Amino acid sequence: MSNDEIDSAGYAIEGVDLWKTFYTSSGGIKRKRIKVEALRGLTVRVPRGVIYGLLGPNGAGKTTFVKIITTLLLPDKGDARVLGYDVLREAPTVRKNIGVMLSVERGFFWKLSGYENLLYFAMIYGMPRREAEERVDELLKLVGLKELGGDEKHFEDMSLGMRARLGLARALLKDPPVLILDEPTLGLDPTSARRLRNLLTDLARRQGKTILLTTHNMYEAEEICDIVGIIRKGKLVAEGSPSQLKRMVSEYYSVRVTGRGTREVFEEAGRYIVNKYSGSRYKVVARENERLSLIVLSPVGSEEQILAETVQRLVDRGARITDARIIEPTLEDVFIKISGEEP
Amino acid sequence: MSLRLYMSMLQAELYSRIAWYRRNRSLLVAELLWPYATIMVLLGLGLGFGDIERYQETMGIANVILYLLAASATITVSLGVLDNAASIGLWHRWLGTLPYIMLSPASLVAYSTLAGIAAALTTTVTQILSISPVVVALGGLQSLGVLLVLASVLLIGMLPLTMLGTFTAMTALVAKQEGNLLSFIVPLIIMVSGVFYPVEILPRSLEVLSRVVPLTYVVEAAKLTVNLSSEPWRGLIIATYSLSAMIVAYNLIGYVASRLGEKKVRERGY
Repeated sequence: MSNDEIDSAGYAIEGVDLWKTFYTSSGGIKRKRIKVEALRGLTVRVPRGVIYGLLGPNGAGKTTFVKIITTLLLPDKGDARVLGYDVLREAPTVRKNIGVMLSVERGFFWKLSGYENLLYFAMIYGMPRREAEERVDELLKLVGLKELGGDEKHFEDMSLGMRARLGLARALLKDPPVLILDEPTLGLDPTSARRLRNLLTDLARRQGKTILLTTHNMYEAEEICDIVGIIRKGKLVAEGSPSQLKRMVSEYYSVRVTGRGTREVFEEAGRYIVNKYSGSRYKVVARENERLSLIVLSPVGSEEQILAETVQRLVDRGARITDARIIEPTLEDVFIKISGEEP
Repeated sequence: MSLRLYMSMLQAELYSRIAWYRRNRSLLVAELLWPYATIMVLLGLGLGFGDIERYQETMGIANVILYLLAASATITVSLGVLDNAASIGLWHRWLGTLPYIMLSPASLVAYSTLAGIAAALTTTVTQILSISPVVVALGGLQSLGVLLVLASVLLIGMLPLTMLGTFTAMTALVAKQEGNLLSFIVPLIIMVSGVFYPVEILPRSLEVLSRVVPLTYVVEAAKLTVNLSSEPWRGLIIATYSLSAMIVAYNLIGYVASRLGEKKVRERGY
């Protein structure tokens, strides 16, 4: 989405210069007051129809931001809007337009079935009983709980994967244009996590929903998010598409071409590339089964050309290529470099 | 906020409470047996200290069993309402459902009040169902009318208590404590309501206090309802007027205080 498109469409979620401080206390008889600055001028803008991933180490302020834009918490200072509605002055309208999932493990009545739980929340959100019954049925099918018997199973007997799906179904009860999910795949096994990610991608791509999710899972952010924002100590420190962020932290990409041929041929190709592209470096590494890899550290922007020319040079000189690729830094590398902490 | 939303929320609460009874049958049985257990304790204690005729005379009641059943039902409903309304916030916080309740278009205060009304409706039904076999056996079929009046009195009488419970719920959430901070109010209310003895025997200060406690009028109304030998209607009307005034006054004060509490909850986090 270009900047012009974003401007004309407006933002689905907008938090501008948000500040929030909490006060807690510790100690027994002599209590010590502790000040925690959760948000320190955080500004996040989520364009409509995208999946936005908010990354940050523990205590960075992700959940505080989520609570503010979902009207659950009042900011000390700053402006927050969802679809243009002010979260302070138009809270009921904001609530009608968002679906929220805050925790996978809890958040439902343990002794009630999936169907009963959803029906309860549908009525709490003001849906007439008959309409609620139809919607709940539809959603149980959509998230795949019906086929697993999750409609009749008590919440206490459900696996974490089923609970996550039930949570997503609740977030979708009002068919809201905006979904806000706080670590939706936390604790899920890889299969359940993938299913949930597929569901989210479908909702964004097919139904045009805007999704804001917080996560610690770099792979997840890289796989499904159109835009990723990294927050640290209550401030946004980086934002962009996963590939933009990778470029931001790395001046070099690695180009690796593997194949069979003489070392001289690989060394010659390396020298040729280094002479042609200033700033690049190369190394030839021996692999299993008498194969060699030519690894070129290429400046960002010329990696595709370098890859093509390296392959061509090697093939022209009789080498047989078995693998050729550009190795990007991972989002995890980006996260560690920007936030200075492990995800 | 529309009436439709509130009705839908009330329906949701009733639905969850009925589902809860279905899944917790032992607790339902305990609730049905509660008035009889209370009577057994009271009669056991009472007979140790005096005779039934004296008690009947002091309390001004025609039938001790009928009265004690009605009084026990009244107490159980009151406790149920106060306890439910007061602990609803904590209960949802423990379950992790509180944020999803707060995401309803209605305020948290509105939700807590409606949950209190749902609790009043369900506990009144269970208590009336519980005592009805014995009441009908002792008073005949015409006592069904008495039960109907008693149920109405209980429901009206619970309305001021509901907002008190809502206010209590907000204080527990604001204070971020794991228990109901105002639970000491319950024994105080029972003590001054004159449910098992006349308020006239209380010290003067407590007697005055009893006049501003809604349960006193519920107990008075319940006494008049089951006491068919006297003229119940005049007293009932006075009790209803008093309760109506309290519904207005308590709900107004409670609403303002609870809304302030809700604002604090959203400022500090739940």
